[in-house]
Amino acid sequence: MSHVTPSRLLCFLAVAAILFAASWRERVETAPPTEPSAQTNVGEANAKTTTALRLVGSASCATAACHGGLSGQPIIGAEFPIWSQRDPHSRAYSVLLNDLSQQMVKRLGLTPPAHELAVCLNCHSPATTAFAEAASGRERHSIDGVSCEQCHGPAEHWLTAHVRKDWRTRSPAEKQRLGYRDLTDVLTRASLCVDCHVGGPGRDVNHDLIAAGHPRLFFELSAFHANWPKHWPREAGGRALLPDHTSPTRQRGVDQEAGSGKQTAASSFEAKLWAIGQVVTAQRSLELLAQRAAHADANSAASWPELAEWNCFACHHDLQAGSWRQARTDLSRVKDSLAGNVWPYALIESLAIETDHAELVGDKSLWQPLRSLIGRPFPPPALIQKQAATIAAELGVWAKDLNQRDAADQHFSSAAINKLQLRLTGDVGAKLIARDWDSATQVVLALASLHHASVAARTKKTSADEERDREIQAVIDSMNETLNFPLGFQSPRDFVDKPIERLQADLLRLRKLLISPK
Amino acid sequence: MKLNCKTVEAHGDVAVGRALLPVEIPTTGKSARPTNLLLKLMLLVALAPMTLFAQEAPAKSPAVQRTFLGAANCVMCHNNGLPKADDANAAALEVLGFTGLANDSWVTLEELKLWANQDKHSQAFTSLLNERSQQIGKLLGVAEIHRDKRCLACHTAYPLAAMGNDPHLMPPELVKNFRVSQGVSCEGCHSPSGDTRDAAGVLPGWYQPHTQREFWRFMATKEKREKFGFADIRSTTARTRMCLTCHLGNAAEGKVVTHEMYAAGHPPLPGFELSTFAAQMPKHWLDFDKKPAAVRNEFLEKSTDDAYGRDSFKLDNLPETNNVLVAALVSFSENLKLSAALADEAATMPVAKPDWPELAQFECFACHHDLKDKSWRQRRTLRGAPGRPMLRAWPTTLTKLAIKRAGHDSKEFDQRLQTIEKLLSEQPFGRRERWLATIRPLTAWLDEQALSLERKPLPRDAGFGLLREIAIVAESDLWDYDSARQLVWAAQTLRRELSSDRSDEALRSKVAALDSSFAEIERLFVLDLIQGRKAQQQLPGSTKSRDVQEVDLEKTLPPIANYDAALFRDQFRKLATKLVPVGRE
Repeated sequence: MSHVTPSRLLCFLAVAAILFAASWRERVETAPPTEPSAQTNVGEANAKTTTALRLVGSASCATAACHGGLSGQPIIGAEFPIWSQRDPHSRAYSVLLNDLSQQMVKRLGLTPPAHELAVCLNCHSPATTAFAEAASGRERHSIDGVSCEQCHGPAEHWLTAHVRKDWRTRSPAEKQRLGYRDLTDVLTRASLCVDCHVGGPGRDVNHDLIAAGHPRLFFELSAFHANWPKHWPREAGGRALLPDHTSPTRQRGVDQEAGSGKQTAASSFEAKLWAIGQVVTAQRSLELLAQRAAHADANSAASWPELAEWNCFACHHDLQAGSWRQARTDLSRVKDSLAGNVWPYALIESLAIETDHAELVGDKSLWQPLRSLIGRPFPPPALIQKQAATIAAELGVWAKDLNQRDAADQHFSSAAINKLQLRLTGDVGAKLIARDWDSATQVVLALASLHHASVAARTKKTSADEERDREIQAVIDSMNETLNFPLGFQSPRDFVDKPIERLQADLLRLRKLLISPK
Repeated sequence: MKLNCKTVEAHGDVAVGRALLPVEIPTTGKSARPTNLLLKLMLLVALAPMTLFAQEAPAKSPAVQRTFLGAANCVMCHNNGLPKADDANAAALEVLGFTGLANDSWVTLEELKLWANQDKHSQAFTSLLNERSQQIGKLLGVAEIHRDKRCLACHTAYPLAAMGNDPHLMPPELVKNFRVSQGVSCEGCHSPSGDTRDAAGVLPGWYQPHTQREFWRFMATKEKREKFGFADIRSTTARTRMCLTCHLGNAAEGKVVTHEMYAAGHPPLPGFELSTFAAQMPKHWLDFDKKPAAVRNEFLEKSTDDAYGRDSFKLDNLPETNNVLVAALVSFSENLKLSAALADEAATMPVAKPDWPELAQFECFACHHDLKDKSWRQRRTLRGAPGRPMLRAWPTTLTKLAIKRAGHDSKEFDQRLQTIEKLLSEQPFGRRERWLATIRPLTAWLDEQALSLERKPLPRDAGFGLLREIAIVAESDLWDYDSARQLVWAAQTLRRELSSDRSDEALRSKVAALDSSFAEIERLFVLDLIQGRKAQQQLPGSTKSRDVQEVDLEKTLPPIANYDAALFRDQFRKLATKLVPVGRE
């Protein structure tokens, strides 16, 4: 049963290839994404690709003397085995060979297997895609999945340079010119993650893919980051992630040899990662929305309205008698949310209030026109595209602004973190928790990140502090437990009265712990 | 006996010519003139207030309709029968022009008893006053939801056109009018019965002529419709269409349950199956085989109705099962027409038209289900592209069987079906500008098939074979709840009809052998749609409250959420093994 005509498939693949080529150009230059819909982009992309950098492949990094060290070396020198054994990114390609991937392709009516489809490979093995072919004669690094150079940058020019002694003293800008990405910069890192974890040109986990079996994307940078098996010992400006056997002093809160020379308190990294993650995720989600809307007009086979732009569980729930959905008397519960995808935007208003971005808050905010448009049964694509792009640009400026701030700044001081914690454990948080599962989960993830940030910010620790930290962590764990989907389900089937009450009670406990005197 | 009444010239569905006063209804002989006049005067008095309402009809519906008289005018004959022929009163009525009426069991003459006591249609309006409806009103931002014309289009038989000029609300004074609050009463299906008069003359209704036995009973249904506006619901196709205006939806009549209404709490409309719904209503009429032989024979002799052919009245066939198949074709066609009307920017509605795409046109449970690991949904045959909503599935389930019985290759039907699925796969909800061009030829074809099947009685000896075919369809795929229930209802109807044949003991025992398998399958569904939650409701203006059955979602929704298509398939497979092909036993 083929449901996709050959012409539709060709069209789809062609668009995907063009878009990916365009996206690669952006990535290499770390330029802000532009909208690649006009035909001129094909020419532009071709022109750029002649100067694109070549990938060398992870095999070049994996020698025992360099990054392929034995596990006797906890981190430094053992980056490759950490990645290949524990990091899910190393399996990005191989999952394309499993049953689910084959099933998905079959359901979509596509003929080539998943591991040959650009729509999959663009994220699951970017080195294998059509762009790589155009750029440098098709690199065959497919089995690498998402490997070293996907994040650190194509190593054509920096491979030899980075083993020289003077590498550490070179400035990030200088390294950047060689194609080496400065991942110590939080915004750079966040922007890179969302390329795949949110999506962009050529990388679109839309409702078609999800319906065919792809897991839904819901990205929260700080939570993903915390769970990620790291192949680096500590953050620049942060404390060590793991006890570093080479230098016990590095466990202290303040970095002793920050390359930039800037003294950054540890708290700033955690808090900044969370805040920038929120803003960049929202920004990229809006750019993806604008991109989808742009194609709605241009492409007769477009997926528009794009169902993935709505909250999954707004539709995907069994119909129940006496549902809270119909029992609700407070209709603001509906109106308060962006009448569409909730996940990326759930906490943007709270963060905007704390960082003085009034234009994103309230009934007269920039969001408002978009909210009413996307709530229509057939959201008008041209208007949506314009509105989404406008807000995305604002968020882009905001993210850059946040990125330049450090611990000394009011936004990332211990006091600021505490203020945000109190906001999210107060009425605002309680309301968000009652709104829907996505919002509730964002609140709990934020509280976890902010708690880690405040622990990291503490220079002195009393046993009372430690006791209180444990209690806070226990409450957060309990909230996480409540948010779990029931066994056998991929949706919050029972997320109605009792779980919400339980979460709100936990929220209150947390608030008391946060404001109680030491 | 001569028909003096001037004919109404019909142009399409809209009467353009008008009979002029006086409307003359033939009576049996001698005192025709004076009684006729007397009767007319009586009716004029009775109809006066209604005529006022009719004149308020908004400009939106240009076709002048007959006047809605209300069930009070029917109760005199259709509640407790007519006076016996030897009753002194009978003669008096005869003199007054009620000619030739007799308790001859052509109809029960106790229709209103059933309607008032058992038929939920009489509760249609009061359900708008219950708690659920109030909450729906709150969520939709309508203070008095029982005056909302979008609801009243289905929840009362009283015509929208007679509900004043406000585009959204019925005037408050009409709430206490029993014609409104009696819900879906006689004229909801039989159509408004009173004359309508205006400057151009009188458009005669069917109330008066239908009291003249000889004149009325043997008149062709077409003539009744065209001259007097009496809806043809004897024809299965026409009857199904009538039911479906509410039980599925009809945009031109303002009868559309929108997604917004469902989201606010309107119970999901169950799949419609004509024979089952009629049996559960329950029927207030006597099917042809239930009428006494004498009146049957008289009818066959005198009737001028050639619409269905004489075969339709043969006793030795399976009319209910044939109705199932005919209604399946009509349901599919009407479903497509509804979606086309909602996609067509040029099509107007007498109430606010919902924005396109109207999500309620699509399969409810395609989206509305919790996401389960290893769900049957991921294992069934995919209709269209994944993630692209398709139209409601239930109206297509039995259609293939019907097409086959109408004498067509099911491949041809599959191809036609695929053009729709393709259209809905190209883009979520399809592309509205292409929708009409695709739908129209298909609905015309389906309507043609339905009409030909209606005129092709299903012989009794084909029954067991059809049951086998139903089983083959049931076990051929993983069916969603509503589609599976259509199959169960069809099988139940067939079983009921087969086992009612007292003459064939062997057949009856063969059918009885299926009882345990049927019982297993039936456990998976809510099949009785009448039983709900007992409650009390009071008609506005009435001092007494009455028993009503409210929809009980506690009973109807969990079986849908917990439904396992694989279990249904396996249990039907068990039943199928008992259906050994005839001749191989």
